[in-house]
Amino acid sequence: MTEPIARPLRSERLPLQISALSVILGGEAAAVPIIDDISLTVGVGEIVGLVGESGSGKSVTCLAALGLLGPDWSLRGDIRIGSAHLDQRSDPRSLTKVRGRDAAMIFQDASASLNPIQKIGKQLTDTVARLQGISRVKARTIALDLLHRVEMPEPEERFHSYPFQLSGGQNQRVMIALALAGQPLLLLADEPTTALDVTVQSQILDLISKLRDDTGMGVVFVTHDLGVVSEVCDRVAVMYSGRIVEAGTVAQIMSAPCHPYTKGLIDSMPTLGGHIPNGIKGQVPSPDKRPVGCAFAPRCFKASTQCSQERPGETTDNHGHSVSCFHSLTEAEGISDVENGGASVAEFPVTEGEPLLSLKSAACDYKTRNGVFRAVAKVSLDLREGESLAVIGESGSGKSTIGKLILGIEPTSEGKAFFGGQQVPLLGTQAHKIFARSVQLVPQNPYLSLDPRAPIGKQIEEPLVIHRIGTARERQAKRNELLEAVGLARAHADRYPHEISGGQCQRAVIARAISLGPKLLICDEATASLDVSVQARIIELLRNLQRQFKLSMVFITHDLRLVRSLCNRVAVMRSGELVELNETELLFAAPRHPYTRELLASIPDVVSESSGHRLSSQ
Amino acid sequence: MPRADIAEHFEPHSKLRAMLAAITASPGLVKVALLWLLLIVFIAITARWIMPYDYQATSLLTRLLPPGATGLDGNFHLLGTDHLGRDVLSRLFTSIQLTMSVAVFGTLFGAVVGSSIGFVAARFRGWVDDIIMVLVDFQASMPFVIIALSVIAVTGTGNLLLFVLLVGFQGWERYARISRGLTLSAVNHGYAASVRLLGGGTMRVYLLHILPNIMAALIVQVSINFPETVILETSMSFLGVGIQPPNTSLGNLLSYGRDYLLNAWWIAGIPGMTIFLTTLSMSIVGDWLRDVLDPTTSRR
Amino acid sequence: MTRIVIRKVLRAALTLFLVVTFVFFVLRITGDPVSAMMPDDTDPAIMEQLREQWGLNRPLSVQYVEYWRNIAKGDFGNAYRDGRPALEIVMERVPATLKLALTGFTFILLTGFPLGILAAVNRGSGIDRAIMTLSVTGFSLPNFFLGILLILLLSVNLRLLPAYGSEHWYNLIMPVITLGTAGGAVIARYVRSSMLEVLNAPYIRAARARGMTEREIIWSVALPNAAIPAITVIGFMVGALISGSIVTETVFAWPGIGRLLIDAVSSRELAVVQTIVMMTAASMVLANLTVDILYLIIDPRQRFGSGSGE
Repeated sequence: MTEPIARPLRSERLPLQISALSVILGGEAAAVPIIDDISLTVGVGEIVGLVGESGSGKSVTCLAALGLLGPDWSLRGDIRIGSAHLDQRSDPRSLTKVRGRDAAMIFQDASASLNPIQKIGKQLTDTVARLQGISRVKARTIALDLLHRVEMPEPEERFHSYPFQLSGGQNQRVMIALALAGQPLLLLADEPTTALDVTVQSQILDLISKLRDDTGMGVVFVTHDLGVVSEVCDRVAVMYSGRIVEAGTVAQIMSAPCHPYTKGLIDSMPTLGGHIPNGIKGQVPSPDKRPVGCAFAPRCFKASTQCSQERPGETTDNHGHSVSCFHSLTEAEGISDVENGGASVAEFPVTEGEPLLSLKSAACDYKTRNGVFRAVAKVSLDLREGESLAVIGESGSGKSTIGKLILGIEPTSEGKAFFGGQQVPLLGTQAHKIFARSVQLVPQNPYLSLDPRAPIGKQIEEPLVIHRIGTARERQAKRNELLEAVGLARAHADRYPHEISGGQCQRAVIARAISLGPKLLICDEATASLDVSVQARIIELLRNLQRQFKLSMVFITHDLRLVRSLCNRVAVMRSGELVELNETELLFAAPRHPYTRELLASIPDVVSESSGHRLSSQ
Repeated sequence: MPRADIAEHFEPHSKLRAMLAAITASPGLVKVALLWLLLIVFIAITARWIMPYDYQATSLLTRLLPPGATGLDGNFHLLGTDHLGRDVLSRLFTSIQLTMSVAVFGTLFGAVVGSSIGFVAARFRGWVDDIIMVLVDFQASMPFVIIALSVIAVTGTGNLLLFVLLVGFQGWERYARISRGLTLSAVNHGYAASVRLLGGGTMRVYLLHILPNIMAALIVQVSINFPETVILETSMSFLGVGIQPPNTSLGNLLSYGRDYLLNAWWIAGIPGMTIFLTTLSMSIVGDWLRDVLDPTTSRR
Repeated sequence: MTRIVIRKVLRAALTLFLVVTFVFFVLRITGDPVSAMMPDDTDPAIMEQLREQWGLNRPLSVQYVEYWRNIAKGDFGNAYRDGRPALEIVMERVPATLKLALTGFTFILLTGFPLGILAAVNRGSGIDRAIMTLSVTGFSLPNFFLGILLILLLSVNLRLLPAYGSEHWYNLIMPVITLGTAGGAVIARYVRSSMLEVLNAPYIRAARARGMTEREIIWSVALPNAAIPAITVIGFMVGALISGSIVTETVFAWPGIGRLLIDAVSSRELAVVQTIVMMTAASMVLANLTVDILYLIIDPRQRFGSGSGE
């Protein structure tokens, strides 16, 4: 049994102290340690970032701290939240007293994390009344006050709204208000801003920092985005395959990483400075196939035989910077090439003359239940052969619709779209079939765009079959060529999409897209569903293909950081309007439209934007 | 990357082998159910040759014999005889044959028609889709038996082919809904959209890509629909508006036996039990199929 | 909200229109009502006379309009055998069927919902498995066989209840079990899966993270959310009750509409058949409309046309 839980004095207790925690999934026979012996401390008023690729165990750590994992899970080691103590013998009933009162949690998908059929005011009031043990009348006042504190616009009105009537950002504010209802010592934030637009993300990050200052609560901030980490966190723990491989202050980790994995992650990050992201080969092993020694060894550029045989222990320097690696990087090695940035795209020659693609005041309307919705309003732009253009915008900006106009998926409601001097034919027509040879799409989710029941190789060959190009043997040769061009092995041809990783799938999609030798490639958030280390490698691939095949590209994305090293020009979209179109360098150096400036300011960058320098080591 | 290649073994893609592997790994109950269905199918196919007596031969000397009795004429009746002295086992076999044939042909007919209608709706959209969906909603809001009975009222009983088609039609609207829904979602934002963008034509998209992908969902629907078809057919035969003598279905047997419940339970009890065990086995196998074919278990 | 209600009502009206049209065409196209109703050896002259009398020689479109006019007047035709209005014959049988169906409906709700919730809350346990086994057995058991089993057990062997009759309350017991078992089994399964879906939703985990106890979560968060999809099934249940009553009434010699329908089909009393079909359709449409409106009342997402954003 646990000790009785009393409300601690703020200053006395650490909000979170995890020691030697292992979290195991499954019964005795098939037990797999998802989290493998980690320790983590969060001080009063401290924001600790927990970073790593998907599958590293960041979220599981948070859920374990609140005992929210299902009955199939068990844990070893112990967790202290304030004065509450949880271990494997903890009674679930005592956990309910900890949850909400000592520690609260917010999630990535705020809109799905609120009861969909209850007004947010009622959810807040009920939670305040239950957690603080006061009457509903009093609780209501506090609930409304909480909405003010999380800076909800028009809180009195929103009090009577249902979650589906609010935006994602507003719902995340409600989640935060609910988390504050029990005045917790600790806030566990599991990717709270990942699903949000950058401008909204930056507001939520500011809010969390401010609330931390006001209340002195400790925060665990789970994210995969190192930019976000440098923005809000005081300390960082880098997780890889269920272990913490490196921990220290943000300055230590970002400017002098000791673990090759940390450096790999930093190098993978695209920056506003135009650093060419440099990915990490391979992928995170699944927990049941974790190597004996260092889990990162198979992907590590410094790996030795020792790494694959023994598990490295943790060493801590006298500044509190700890690392688990046999071959810690020296300060010189640790310097990332992030700062070297500024790679120009001038290496891609752009031809003069007639534009390959041009939109002439093209507009696109969608019919909705409430009338006509203008997704794109009279946009004009040109693209020359060999050029690559970024279309930037937040959700609802119409950036994807631009892609659909260019591809002939949607007809223009006004104006016209031209490709190679001819009007873009509409999908499904005979003319479109010919057009399809020249323009292809790389969509966001590779798993969705591949047929789950056909082998990869067959799908890469399919365009050749459709267009009756070559004999079966020639097609096979072409297929092998394409596989090689996108960095896949021949053996992948026989695999099915669900058998390979997301990055490999996206490579297959790219191979299929270039199989007909197109002139123009539309990449619609082509890397948005991938981990940063994989994203970096796909970007690299696209850059190579661009050069090799003299491809023109339209790169549709929400992430301004991606485009600097990839695109000649940038078009910024907002609510269907083209607000700014300029050469990449000029746009970054001197943004003219206030919205472009807001976007640039909102983006969390691994390089601190105020000074223009990397954070200096303490 | 080569490491991953070695580490992950290639899964067997031979459909038959995969199916056998799945059966071997299935729970005991499923195996029993499969065995029962196998027996029923065997009887249905071989009924003509394995039944001991003519199922129509009456004999007043051997009326209402209990199971395992030997009649005055020296004939052994494993499952007894009915009120006209006919051998229950022979009648059971021939009834299984008819009931199963009606169920198989009817279900296949309904599945093919229903899913084709769904495809058509998804392909043409617009007013075609609207009309089909109105019909689907209409069908979903009318109990099928009522519709079947009103058709029978006009055409009269005794037309076997019409009856099979009618019974098979049950559930067409669910096939239509499934194939339409899945097709639309594939066309709108999935692999089908990609194939279209590559220049693939309608036939290629629908037959080579969408059909194989929604096959699993349709098979699951068949497994749900099949026992329903059996129950519909036997119910109607039981009520005297389905299969007509001299043909006989399990439902007919039950309906004759109803009058002799007091002194000859086996006439109704044995065919009743046969129907029950068959539909139960199908439901068990259907549930299992759903888990095997559709691990996401997200269905509407 | 009113706009949605109007749309639903229009949809219901459309369905009713389709039913009437369907019945009309089934009766006129698939066969000749006169030859369907008269014995085969009837004098052709008499048949011709009957066709004349019933207006069957006129163009279909004229007949169709006439058909509607009669229905509007409440004239569903007369029974061939005794010449009484079909509507009257059917209405006599309504109370018996209503009594059976309403009791059956209560039985379904009282078994289906609690069992489904119990199974979901105890997912994977022995209780869950027992309930699910019961459910699979329940809807695999054809109700004509279930009825016969009940008679064998309770009337023949145990002599507890009379096999036939409809005067006393205890006469209802066997028919209601026969009628409701399949429905209860389906509902239990449906409620379980909709409850499980809700219990896996992110907002349940979030509620748990705020320190709500399992009991609070089940009663105040999960159940209200799971009840919404479960209501749809109630609409289906009306249809299942109607089709189930046909068999049940035949097995237990219950003097209701179901048995009347079978008799009418066998003796080809088309007027009676069409009256029953239309009444069934009307009650189904009404039930579905009620469910739709109930939906609007309890689900705010439906009420506000889901998604004011975007």
